[in-house]
Amino acid sequence: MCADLERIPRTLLVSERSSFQNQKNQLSAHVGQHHFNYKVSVLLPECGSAPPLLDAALNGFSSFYLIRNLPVYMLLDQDFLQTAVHQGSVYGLSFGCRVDEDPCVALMPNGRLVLSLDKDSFELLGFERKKYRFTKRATSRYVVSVNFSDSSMTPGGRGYQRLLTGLKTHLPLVVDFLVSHHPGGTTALQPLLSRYDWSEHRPSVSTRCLANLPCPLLTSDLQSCDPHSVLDWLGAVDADVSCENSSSSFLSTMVCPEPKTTASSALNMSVSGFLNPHEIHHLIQELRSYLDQSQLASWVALTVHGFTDSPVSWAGDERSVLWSGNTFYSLLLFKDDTYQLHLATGAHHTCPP
Amino acid sequence: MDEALVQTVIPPHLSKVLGVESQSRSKAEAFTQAFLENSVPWNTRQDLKAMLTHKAVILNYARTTQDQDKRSRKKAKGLNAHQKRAMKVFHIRPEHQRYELFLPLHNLWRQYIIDLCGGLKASCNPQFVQQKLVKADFHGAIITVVRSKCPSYVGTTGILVQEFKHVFKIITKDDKLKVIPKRNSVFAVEINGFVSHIYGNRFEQRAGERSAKKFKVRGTIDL
Amino acid sequence: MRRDADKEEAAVYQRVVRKNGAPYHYLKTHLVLEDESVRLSAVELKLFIISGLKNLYGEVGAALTFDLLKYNEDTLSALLRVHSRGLVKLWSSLTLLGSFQGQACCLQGPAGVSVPAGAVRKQS
Repeated sequence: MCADLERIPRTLLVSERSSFQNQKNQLSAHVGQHHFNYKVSVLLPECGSAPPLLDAALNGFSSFYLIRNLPVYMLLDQDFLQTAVHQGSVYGLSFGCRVDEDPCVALMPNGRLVLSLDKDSFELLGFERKKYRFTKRATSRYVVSVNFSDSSMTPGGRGYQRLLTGLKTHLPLVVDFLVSHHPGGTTALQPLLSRYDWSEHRPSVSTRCLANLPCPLLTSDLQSCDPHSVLDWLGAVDADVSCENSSSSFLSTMVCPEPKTTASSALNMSVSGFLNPHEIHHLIQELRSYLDQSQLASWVALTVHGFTDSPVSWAGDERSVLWSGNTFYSLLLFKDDTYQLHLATGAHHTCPP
Repeated sequence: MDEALVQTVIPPHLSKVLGVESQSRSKAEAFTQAFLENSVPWNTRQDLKAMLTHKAVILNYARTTQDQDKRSRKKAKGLNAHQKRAMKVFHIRPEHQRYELFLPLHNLWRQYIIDLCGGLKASCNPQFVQQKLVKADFHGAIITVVRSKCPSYVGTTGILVQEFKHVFKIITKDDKLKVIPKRNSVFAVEINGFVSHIYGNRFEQRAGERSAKKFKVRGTIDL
Repeated sequence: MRRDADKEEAAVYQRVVRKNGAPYHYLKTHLVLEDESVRLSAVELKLFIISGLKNLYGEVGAALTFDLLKYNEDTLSALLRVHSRGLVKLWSSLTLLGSFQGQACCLQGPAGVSVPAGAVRKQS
């Protein structure tokens, strides 16, 4: 009984330290493989006002589209596959579907479609599922994954016909769908947009100025500061949680990790929506150039959050929400072109690459 | 009685009492002969001589006792499973595996079900139809697999050709004979707008035995 | 359980994997009351949660330390922080809290995450 009550949900934190000079650094791979990004927040210490280039980069995130009541079989439409999936990269995610209750759909830029279904929906659909890696725990979600570049999934192929019949007649799924395309705009997504009700959205940008912010002393060495406490502190700043509490306070005892200094001013900027990894990459380059030019700041922090209801995590690995399900990563950039990257996932996930 | 007594003359004192006259001997004989001939039935009068010349030969009919005992002990025994498989009694030959051949069977089945449920009208109570269907025979019905734990069975449709204890044998439109296990599948049968779902897990009996079985009412059935 | 695995390819590159090392867990929750006009202060809410812990786990349970990091009086939504070992106790007592000052209430949607930033975000 006691052991059950003190059970800790499984969490996984991968910390990487490398340099931009190192040819083998995998930062771009990590950024590119995290397909579905909800929010990016940037913390600039010792900064009073938004630098114009960064401001432009944040406002330059491309818009995304929300299609209402899209029947899922339309994602197998031949025109859509030709114009959007096989040319450029299309990102699509079902919206408003809770990943542990409703069927969820994700479309990835490498041409993979992932359907996360519950038992009844899977039994109705009639398409084989991917083998689960986590066989110790019998989860109740069934993941159907197809790759449009396979020979059987070309239009007219056996697998394609079977999935199409399944989605049209046996299990007519209809979801609200968030979709964006890189590089194109509405032209690539025309086969879908022309037939259904859609609306265009711009990612929303917000900026907050903080004064006298206690900050931990951060260096590029991984051992200097415990990553968990640094991430906790970063999250607290982002959530506007006060870290100036005494240990005897009744309400909260959260403090900034030691050793610490005080920054006279700091800027917290965030953009949220359905964000493209390519643009996040561009933002990272802008942050690097800002850090090179700035005299006061010695580090900059960037945090990228994934969607809670996404059926996939890094590189299309399966994901489920049981205890703590958010995938996110934090990047700390330092003056000497080094960086620390922290990748976090919750229970039942595979280790990020 | 002495024949002579019959042929004597009636005494004279009695002839007055009776009111009859005795005739002479020759006349009496002629009268008796004529009376007998009239009394005897007509056809036997003809065949009389033929019948008398025939001699009926009666053959001995009774059999020996050993054969009789054997017959009473020997009942009609069916074939056992080994013999059935050897003789391929339930095997459908490839030239018979054609969808069109079974369409008349399907029509027969439709008629049978409609008669069983007393005419399937739109106003019929589904409960009543369901109770009848549970005991009905499904040979010849067009069934579809609607849900299954094994995804490759979902969507298969065809006419039910043979029903065994654990398995349905159906023939699809492409003239393919498919064997679908009953377990972990849900089948749908449609007649005249009534769609009935059969849960295979609860249906694993031989067709003949099912008509006598009582089905318990269960809450939800999960595959 | 804490396991460190080090992969060192060059002097500059370093990778550390930490499993189950998060010391704190964060819960985002929202109080729903029968009478919607009632307002609570942060201190009152914390006392209410402590009373729930006491009901379920006794004095020792009520001694479980947790922090009320952020509280919005208008929407009655709160962000809590607790040691990972106390997560199960806190979450179960939040679920079973049924009445506040005589009226029915419930603590809705506790969503547990290991980092606070993940807790406060909502989907667009």
